Amino acid sequence: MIDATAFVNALTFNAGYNTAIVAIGAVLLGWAGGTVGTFLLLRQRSLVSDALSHATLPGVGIAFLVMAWFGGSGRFLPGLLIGAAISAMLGLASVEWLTRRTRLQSDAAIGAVLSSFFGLGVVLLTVIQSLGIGRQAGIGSFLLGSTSGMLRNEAITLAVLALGVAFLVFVLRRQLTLVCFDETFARTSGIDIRRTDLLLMLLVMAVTVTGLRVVGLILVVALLIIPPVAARFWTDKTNTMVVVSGFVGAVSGFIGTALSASVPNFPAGPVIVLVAACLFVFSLLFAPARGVFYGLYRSRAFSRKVHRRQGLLAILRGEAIYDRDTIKVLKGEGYINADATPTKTGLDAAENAAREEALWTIYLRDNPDAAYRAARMRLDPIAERLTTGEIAELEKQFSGPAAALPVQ
Amino acid sequence: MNVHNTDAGAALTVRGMSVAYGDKPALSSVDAIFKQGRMSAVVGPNGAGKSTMLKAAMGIIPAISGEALFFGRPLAEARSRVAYVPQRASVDWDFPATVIDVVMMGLYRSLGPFRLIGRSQREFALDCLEDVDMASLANRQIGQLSGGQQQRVFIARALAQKADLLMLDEPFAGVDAATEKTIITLLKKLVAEGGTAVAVHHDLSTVTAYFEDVLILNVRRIANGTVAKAFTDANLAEAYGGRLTQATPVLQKTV
Repeated sequence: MIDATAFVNALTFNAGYNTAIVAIGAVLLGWAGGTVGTFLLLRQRSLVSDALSHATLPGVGIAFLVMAWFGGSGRFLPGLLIGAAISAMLGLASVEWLTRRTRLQSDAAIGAVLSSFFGLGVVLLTVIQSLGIGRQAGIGSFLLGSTSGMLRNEAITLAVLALGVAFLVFVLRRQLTLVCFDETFARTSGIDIRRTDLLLMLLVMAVTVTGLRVVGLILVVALLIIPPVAARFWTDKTNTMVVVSGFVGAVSGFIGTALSASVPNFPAGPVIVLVAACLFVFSLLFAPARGVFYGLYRSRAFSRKVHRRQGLLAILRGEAIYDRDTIKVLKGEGYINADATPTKTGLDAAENAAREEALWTIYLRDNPDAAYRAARMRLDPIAERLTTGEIAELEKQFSGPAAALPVQ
Repeated sequence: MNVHNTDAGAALTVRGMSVAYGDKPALSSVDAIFKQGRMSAVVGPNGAGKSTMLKAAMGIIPAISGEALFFGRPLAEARSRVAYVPQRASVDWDFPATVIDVVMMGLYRSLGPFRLIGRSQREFALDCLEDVDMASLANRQIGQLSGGQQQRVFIARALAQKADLLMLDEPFAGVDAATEKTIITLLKKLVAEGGTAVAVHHDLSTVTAYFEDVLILNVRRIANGTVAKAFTDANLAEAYGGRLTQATPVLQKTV
């Protein structure tokens, strides 16, 4: 089971040189994946990364064969990664071509390319293993990654990648945001959409190819997709989302490697992905504004608002209130006394509620198509929902709170 | 320098513009002139190519032939003088951005990749929002806005570009009466100060009240000129196939 001391040691970089190197590498990779993945998600291209990562496999196989053919060690890592990058580019180009030139939708094109390239890759790997050339042991680790025996050089490669990604994302952030939000406007601002997309894909490819070694090609896509969807729950601003997503990726990398170092036979790559998935579920449940639990709280808060408004209007009309929930809400807010007579604050609030009700009624008369939205909005203070000018316009037509009372 | 003297004073000149989607023609050799300092409408039935003409002129979709000149120059040389307001429905409003973020997008071009957004840019963006009565909602997520409010955010973004020519694609589609009033008042003020506005417009009943010039389009050009001269029953009948010859006078009376 989990070795607590080893886990703490790993978290504090005291678990030995090799674990520290792996942890740093995984943190940087997670951060780069989360950052780039944000724009990929906002551009609605998340699945393209899946095609891209699977398309690396034949490249790895062919690079191995070529290097072994020329008498070298087939396992020379930079050579394998270059092969992976080239075949990923071919895969990406195929997806692009299929969606542009045929009637295939992009999901079908991605599926077709992904499975064809992956199939070819698996065949090549099987052939390589049967040939018995060029120290092929370990080449299968590209499928699920392997951090054991990660070298200092590889950690440095990851650091260089992370810095490069940081710089490029910073330089391109406005351009990418514009293209993701409003492509037509971006074009009229003089931005070359195709070039921007290409640069984004280049970033994705850089993350994928370097991630192959750590988490493997099947799971590397998780580092591009999960952190941004988790981050989306926490913020409504693109820049913040980029930062939060990078953070989620980095934390996943860190905790994931620490866990795998402290539990025997825990593979680092899949564990990193599982940690990211846990952070996603946590965000889904607990994030404010967009989380599931907050949503439940909000629907309760909404029904409270309904009772509050109904109760206040009843106070204003001098009607008796029978609904227990309404009485509870009104008492809780101090609007009525124990004997159900309204307090001073209650009467003031009732006056105000009637005014807002009347203003909303005028608003709806002017904008009948807003009825659905307004049913939700009209229980909030009007100043939070409409602009000062809009309210001034409504007040011009306002004849006093009596308008909210039913005609007797 | 410019041999086309007739174009002098034109904010946008469209010459022989033809556009097709696949093999389906959308615009057939359209010529049109939109003068500086005027409010111009582009009207025509559904599928007449109104938005297509605007998009082709702005280089958003490719034209088979023809060209668009902005202030006598190709778009690439006049880009900073032209602002485009897309249709509201063309973007995903659930995008992670606040109202002021969207207005800031109008500044991206002049800021470039490295200059950071400071207080003066923020205040300028708020001024633009104030012009469309949206300053009090500056920090709202854009998905929470009403349709009219979203449209006004788009207009504010165009204002932030400080352009001489505003190209608006259906600015009044699906907006409330108050928004329509705010936008038209603002556009008229900009035009009075020397600006130019070209808007794709679908409501024939307001053409006379809102606009000075008009282009009537139905794949080809039907008429182009002042509203008084070009916006005639005969031209409308030609564009709309006679269906509106009865309706137009009635509609105009209700304004």
